[in-house]
Amino acid sequence: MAKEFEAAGMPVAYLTTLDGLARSVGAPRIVRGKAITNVAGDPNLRPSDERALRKELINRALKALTTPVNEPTTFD
Amino acid sequence: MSTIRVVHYLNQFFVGLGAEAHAGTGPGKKPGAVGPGIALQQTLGEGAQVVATVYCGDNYANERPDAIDAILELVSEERPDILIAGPAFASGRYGMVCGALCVRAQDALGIVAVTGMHPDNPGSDLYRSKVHIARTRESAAGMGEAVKAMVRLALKLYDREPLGTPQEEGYIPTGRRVHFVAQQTAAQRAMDMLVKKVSGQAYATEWPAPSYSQAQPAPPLQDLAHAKLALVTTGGVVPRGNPDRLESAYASKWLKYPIGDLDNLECSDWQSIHGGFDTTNVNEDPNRMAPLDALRELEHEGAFQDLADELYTTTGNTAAIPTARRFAQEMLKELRANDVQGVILTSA
Repeated sequence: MAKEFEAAGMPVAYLTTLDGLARSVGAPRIVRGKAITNVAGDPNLRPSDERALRKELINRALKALTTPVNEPTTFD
Repeated sequence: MSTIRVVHYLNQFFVGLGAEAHAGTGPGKKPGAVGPGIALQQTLGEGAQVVATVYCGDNYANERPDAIDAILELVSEERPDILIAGPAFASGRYGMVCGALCVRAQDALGIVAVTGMHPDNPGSDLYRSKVHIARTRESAAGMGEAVKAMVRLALKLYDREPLGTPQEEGYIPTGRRVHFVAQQTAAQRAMDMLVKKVSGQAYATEWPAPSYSQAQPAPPLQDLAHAKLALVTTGGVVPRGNPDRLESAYASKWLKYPIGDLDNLECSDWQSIHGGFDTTNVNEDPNRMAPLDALRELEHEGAFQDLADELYTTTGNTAAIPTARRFAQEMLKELRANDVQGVILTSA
């Protein structure tokens, strides 16, 4: 889906824990998530720290959306 | 035994009318073998005869909805036992016609139909599960071997002989699985491959890793502060109770739910029905899959202008690629209509 959006001119920040898989299938803008069962969070953190983690992930996604890429790129 | 009747299909170029300037030519027919059909007749030998060559311009055949039916009618008039189409090599329009025509000939006339293409031909992806496509080179330099492969396939199919593997027979894999008892166990075969690999010898994998086409990346957002974004997830996030019955695997649909008035996804109101991972953590806090709270916070801080008023959601678990493509295309129409300029896509 990420590739289909991108090919149509719509940039996509793809948040996934399986970033290796995303790279191998060719998704252009990848943000590595925390875990398969909680891609955008971490139940082991205190709520305030988990919110900060989530915000950090979205900030990376925003960075990905504003960065030119030529090939599958992971934004850490 | 009576002679097997063969009809050959060619495009305007190979039938000798001309190149692009003649791509608009309508369907037609010539008696006997023409152009590459001469080699086809030689390869078929005396037991089979090319009784006619049917042709059509590639543009005409692709643009006119009734073209394949018209071509098929010309084929049908000859009462053939076998249709050979092409080979189309890497020519996309030609390949699409050859594939479509062979499928119709099989289904409507009940005859053997074989074509030939390079694996990169778009007609290959579309038709290889429905018709046997001889694997060819990219250009007509590979005509001789392509004709031999098509004839071998066609005569075997006509005689109802079982086909060997795609590698042995030279056709593009159809996706069918054929069971057989191997002489050695999987462990022995794997060890043989490994030893060959580390000692630099050639080996043939039994399961080639799939290769995926590259997508041309979109240009980046120039002005994030004034951009409208949308949140899309394949994590199966739905209102609690799953009122629209989104599937937990093999999703047949995508859904959208209003989130314009929400600052986060409460676990009392939302859940994930994804069947491919343990959803306990997401069901405790659905923002862990669809991070609305963080997006809303950054929206309020002015990092970007606006978040679309709807959450776009489906289940990625065991999704087939064509289905995922369709979902994306359908979503794109709505995203564009809502002036969305960028997407945050989340999955497991």
